[in-house]
Amino acid sequence: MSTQLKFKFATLLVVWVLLLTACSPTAAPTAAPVPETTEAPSEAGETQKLILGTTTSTYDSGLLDYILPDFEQAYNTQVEVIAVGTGQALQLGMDGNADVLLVHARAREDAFMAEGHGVRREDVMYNDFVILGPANDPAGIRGMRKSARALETLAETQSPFISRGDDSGTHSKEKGLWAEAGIEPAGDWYISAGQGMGAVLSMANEQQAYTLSDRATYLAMTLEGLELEIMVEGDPLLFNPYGVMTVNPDKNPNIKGDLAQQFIDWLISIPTQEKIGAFGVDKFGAPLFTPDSQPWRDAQAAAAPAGAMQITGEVAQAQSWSEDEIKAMGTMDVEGQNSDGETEIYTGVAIKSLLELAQPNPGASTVVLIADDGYSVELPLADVMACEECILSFRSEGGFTSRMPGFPKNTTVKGLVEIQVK
Amino acid sequence: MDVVWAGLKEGLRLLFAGDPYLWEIVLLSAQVSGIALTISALLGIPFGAIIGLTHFPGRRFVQALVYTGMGFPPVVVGLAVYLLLSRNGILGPLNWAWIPQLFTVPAMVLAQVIIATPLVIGYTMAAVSEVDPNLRLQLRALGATPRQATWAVLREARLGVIVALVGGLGSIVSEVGAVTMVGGNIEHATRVLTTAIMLETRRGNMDLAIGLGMVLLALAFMVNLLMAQFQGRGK
Repeated sequence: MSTQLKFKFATLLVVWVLLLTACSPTAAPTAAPVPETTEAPSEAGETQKLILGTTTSTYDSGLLDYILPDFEQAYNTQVEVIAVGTGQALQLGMDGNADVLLVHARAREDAFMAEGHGVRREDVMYNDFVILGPANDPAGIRGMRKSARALETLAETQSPFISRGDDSGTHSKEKGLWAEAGIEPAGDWYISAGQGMGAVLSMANEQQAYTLSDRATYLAMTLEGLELEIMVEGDPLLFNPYGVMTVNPDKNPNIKGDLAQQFIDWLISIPTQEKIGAFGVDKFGAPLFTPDSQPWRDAQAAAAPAGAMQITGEVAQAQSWSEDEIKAMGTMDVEGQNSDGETEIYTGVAIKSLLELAQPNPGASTVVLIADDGYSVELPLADVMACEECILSFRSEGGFTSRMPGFPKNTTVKGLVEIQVK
Repeated sequence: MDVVWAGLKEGLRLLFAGDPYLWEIVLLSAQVSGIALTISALLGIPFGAIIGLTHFPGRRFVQALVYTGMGFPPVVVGLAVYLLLSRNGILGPLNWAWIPQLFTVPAMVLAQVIIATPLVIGYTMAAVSEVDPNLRLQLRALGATPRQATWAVLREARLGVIVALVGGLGSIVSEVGAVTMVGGNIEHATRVLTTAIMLETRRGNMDLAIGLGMVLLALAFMVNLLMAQFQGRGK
């Protein structure tokens, strides 16, 4: 018996040794294309490591997996992503445990910089938050314009609301909205989950509760069967800008200040920004993040001359034309009444054909006509698409005016610069 | 329910098709926990034997410490190791080459060693105390040195010692809090089974989460099967 036992014990040891050696990066029989590991620098010289502290939204949505390989290849660097709440990400920077941070909590980012924890901060992109709820919307907040009013209603009706409760950027935003509503949320209905966005969405889905989410994670989760629906969106308060910051290399000799600078330069460069803008379009029919770095904004401003026309929002192909480009399109004449009530002939381009070029998404329902002075008016998308005679007429002083026969008078928008689909 | 079935099917497929992402995680888990268990065994078995067999002042106190360590919440261990290694923490600012950096495999191994060692000590301690105390006396009377006598007792208590190792392994391979905190769940670097399951669930990749979960279950089952096998032989 004893020898048999000894044999058994030896087998156990052998199994372990085998397991351990099988795990060394040089010999992994089962994993055919062995991905790079920290222990195995690539053949082309020493691979550098850059630690990126970021929020769960950039990582869980898949954005970083989509854009980072370009940087890793170009700079022979392995970017180690630590995806946590914004609070922890900022703490990683303060303690010098990360080289560069990509977060979304503007006020706290500014404080981080002011306290000398970082040496450089740049805008990167933005997405927006949405208030989500069960499809039957027991609290009746669907379609509200003001997010603070919607939260107030949730508090009044004691409707279950799940909060991230993890000091993340999303949580900061939520606290800001409650403050805006003048409410200190507390009670059985207010559930502080202390978890990431995906976990909170699943919880809200299971419990038929309301919650606040970034649009990117929400869209990604809907593909996985999430049934919550958007209740409130489009409020400027729900705007969610992301910033990137290098951590002050004086904190620790291991912090890679130069590489972090290169990373920022790469992240805000036009090609990377284009890639950020393209991410998710194939999957969701809409971009998850909107590029917004300084170089990107400069390039956009330079590319879009005055009097230009653009179609934005829920479209497959956002469009932007110069005035000359519009005038070069097929024009048509329609009769309409001028402000003095006299009938006049207007020349212009059919709005329907412009929208067809932009391909509104199936879920879109509304068209917003936006003037250069900020005036805007909303119309049902279906009615606009059905209108053969609705045109962008050319103004003698340059620019466009919408001429919408059969629509109310306030849809004649002078100095129209943008058609937003939503 | 559809999600579960589809996940199970896809999970099995990933598992047997040798999906590189999945297998990389499985192998890293085995590596981290394997190294941690080896270190815990080297530290814990001798220590446990000494506490179990010898009488010294303060033995009760040391035993109480060990029992406390056995029930130590892994997240607290994670927090402690984090604070120890953080560049703004206790050892981190020294920047000595042999101190593991946060978010690396050695940091995870350190946390797991701290979790597993008290378990190995505790179980070993209990196993050697069960051996008839007369054995040791007889051996000493026959002229064995204390070390030889201890070795003989350990051999007699080997089943208990193996249970100690299996128990230690079970506790670290399935632990998630500490490895998330000190490892950071970095792809290709510190992502192990438990942290990957958390992440993929968070991301909504249920099939991958289920596949990884099945591996973890299978590992736990194999470990227990081995243990049962040994216990059977002991009878």
